[in-house]
Amino acid sequence: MISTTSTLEEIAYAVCTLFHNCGKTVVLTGGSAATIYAPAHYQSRDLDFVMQFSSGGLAVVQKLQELGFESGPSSIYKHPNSAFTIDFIAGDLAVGEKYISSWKTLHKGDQILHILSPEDCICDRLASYIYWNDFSALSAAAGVYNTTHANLDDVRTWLEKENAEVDQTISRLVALAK
Amino acid sequence: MIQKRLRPGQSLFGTESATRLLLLIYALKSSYASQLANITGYGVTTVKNQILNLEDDGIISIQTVGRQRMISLNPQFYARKELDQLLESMIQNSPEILQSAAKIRSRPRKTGKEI
Repeated sequence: MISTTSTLEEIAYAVCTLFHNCGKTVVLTGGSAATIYAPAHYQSRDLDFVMQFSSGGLAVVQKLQELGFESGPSSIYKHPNSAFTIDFIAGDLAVGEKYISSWKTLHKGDQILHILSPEDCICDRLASYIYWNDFSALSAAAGVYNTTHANLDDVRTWLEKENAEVDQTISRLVALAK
Repeated sequence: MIQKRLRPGQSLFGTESATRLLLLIYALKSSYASQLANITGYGVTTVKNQILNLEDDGIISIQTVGRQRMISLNPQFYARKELDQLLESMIQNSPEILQSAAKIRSRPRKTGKEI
């Protein structure tokens, strides 16, 4: 049951478990994934999911109504008791040019949450930083690095493939994470 | 607004406020006076005066876009490459500058999502 006090994490688990029970996989991405890893550093207000193998997905999306979510503009789902919104991002699970084929699955009681790995989550936030010079995204990436101690070699490799300023980006990330 | 003091070199560009503003302009690549005032907590007048001084020195340039006067480092400044290196080093030793720049969201937001 979604209430006014439900946290982003609680809603993420509820949605992912609902889909899982229908045989569908949705993976949490974007700033909401950063909030799961580093809630003290970054607070997202919307949950971005990517649905894997989305044929028949629309019918399943309607299951969100079981949680009380209502369809809003641009396929954004809103709940009357919560400020958090849910969005299903079109397309494959990817960070920049990199397609993501594996992710992390967290468990809480009988609920599950599929989420980008900490490394991919950092890359995802850095994508917003390198494409739009968004320092709030860099700060979120630093928060994820600070709390997960993710492998920066993977991040470095991704930055190289994106033709980003690798050394500067990593140095700023580490400086912010201190 | 109480700000953490910058590390050594804080007055390198005349005053701490001038140095802080220049670091922010470098980090953000492009900004405008009210945004810089919002980030730093300085008054808009203070920001505009410092911007005028930096422009007079040839360090920054101002370009009008629509009704906004966009401020950026002057690409034609004779020591621009060296200046970039210095500012980058100062920023990495003063992460509070990066943190203050993080107040601004510059990535796009999908239509329908609340600001």
